[in-house]
Amino acid sequence: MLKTAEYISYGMGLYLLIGLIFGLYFITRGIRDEPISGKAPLLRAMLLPAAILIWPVLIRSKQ
Amino acid sequence: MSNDFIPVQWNRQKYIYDAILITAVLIYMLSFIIFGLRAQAADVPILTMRALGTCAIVLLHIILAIGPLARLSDRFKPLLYNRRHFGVLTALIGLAHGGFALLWYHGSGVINPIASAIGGYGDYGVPIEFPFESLGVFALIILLMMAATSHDFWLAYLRPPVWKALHMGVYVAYIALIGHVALGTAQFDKGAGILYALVAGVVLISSLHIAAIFKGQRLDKTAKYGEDWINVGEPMAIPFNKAVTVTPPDGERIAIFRHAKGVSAIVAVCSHQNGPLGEGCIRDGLVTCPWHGFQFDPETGASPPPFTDRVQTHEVKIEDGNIWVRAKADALGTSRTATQVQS
Repeated sequence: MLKTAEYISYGMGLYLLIGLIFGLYFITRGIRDEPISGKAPLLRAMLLPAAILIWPVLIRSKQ
Repeated sequence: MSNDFIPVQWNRQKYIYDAILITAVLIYMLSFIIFGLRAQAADVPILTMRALGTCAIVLLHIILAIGPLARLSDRFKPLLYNRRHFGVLTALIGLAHGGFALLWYHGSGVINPIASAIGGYGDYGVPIEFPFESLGVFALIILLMMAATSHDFWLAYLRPPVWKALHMGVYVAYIALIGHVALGTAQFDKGAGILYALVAGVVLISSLHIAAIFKGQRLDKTAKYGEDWINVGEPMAIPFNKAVTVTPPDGERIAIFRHAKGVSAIVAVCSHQNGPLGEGCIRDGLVTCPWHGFQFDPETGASPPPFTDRVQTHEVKIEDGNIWVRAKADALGTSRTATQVQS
């Protein structure tokens, strides 16, 4: 059980790491065409957590 | 409503709403800790952790109660406004509880804290040893996902059906949290007070939802169907500047409004967050969603400029003194002049 729990925790870490890389790309380049006021750095920062958490949904939605 | 996305659309009502919310949370937390210390229940860190946990689950109950309460009585509709801040606060308090518990109980071992929490030392086959933290982690992930995607940007980007499906996860999170408490702290509560409170909460939330469903069905006009037209009844049966709703055999519910120009019908689902437009009213000549105040012209289904939101219209006719609405919605963007009512 302990080994399984460790694998799950590593999987979660990997998921979040990929999400972070994808999320940074998404908020800087991925939403250039969206109606966002000005450069809106605060808004882009606010969007980052969601991009990290739901990156598979975002990748699928644009395919 | 906004045309461009901005971080937070603050206004006076939102400031007041949030101030009340945060004050209530702080009062609850302090009261919990002070009474806990007086009763010598535990020391400050443990009481803080419990205060955060109980606060999150109480807030989640309130969030889940707001929707059905607003359907049961108009007096609760103001609570719907800004409900997303309520949700974000709940997720953050849950995160604080989870982080605190993770460090306190699992942070000093030899295995990593997450692995320890989700089952390192428990046994999923034995109720008393069930690693209840795993249910808490699962619920927290859902709540954080919902909080993170609560901004209108995500609603527009993901589209309402996907966004709505994601946010229906609150019920999954709720069930997981009930399991988290029932298999966790409730098992060690000698007086069984926690279990009673938990059962009372589940009964309350379930009852409110069932009552709201029954009320919704009662309010829905009993429609008679022709080939593709629905008989809605006499125009004067619809209160002025209000609507009745009918459910066609296929497709979304239809809201039929009686207003100054006559009778108009639009799809009863708000394009913003799928709010019940049929429970809204006409303000300044525009159908106003009861959830967040999004507005639509009853004849065109379009939001006033510069906004670009739209809902579909339905064709309406009056025959033999009765309103008939076409079951099939018009193509998005179709305008329908209001049908005149002979009084």
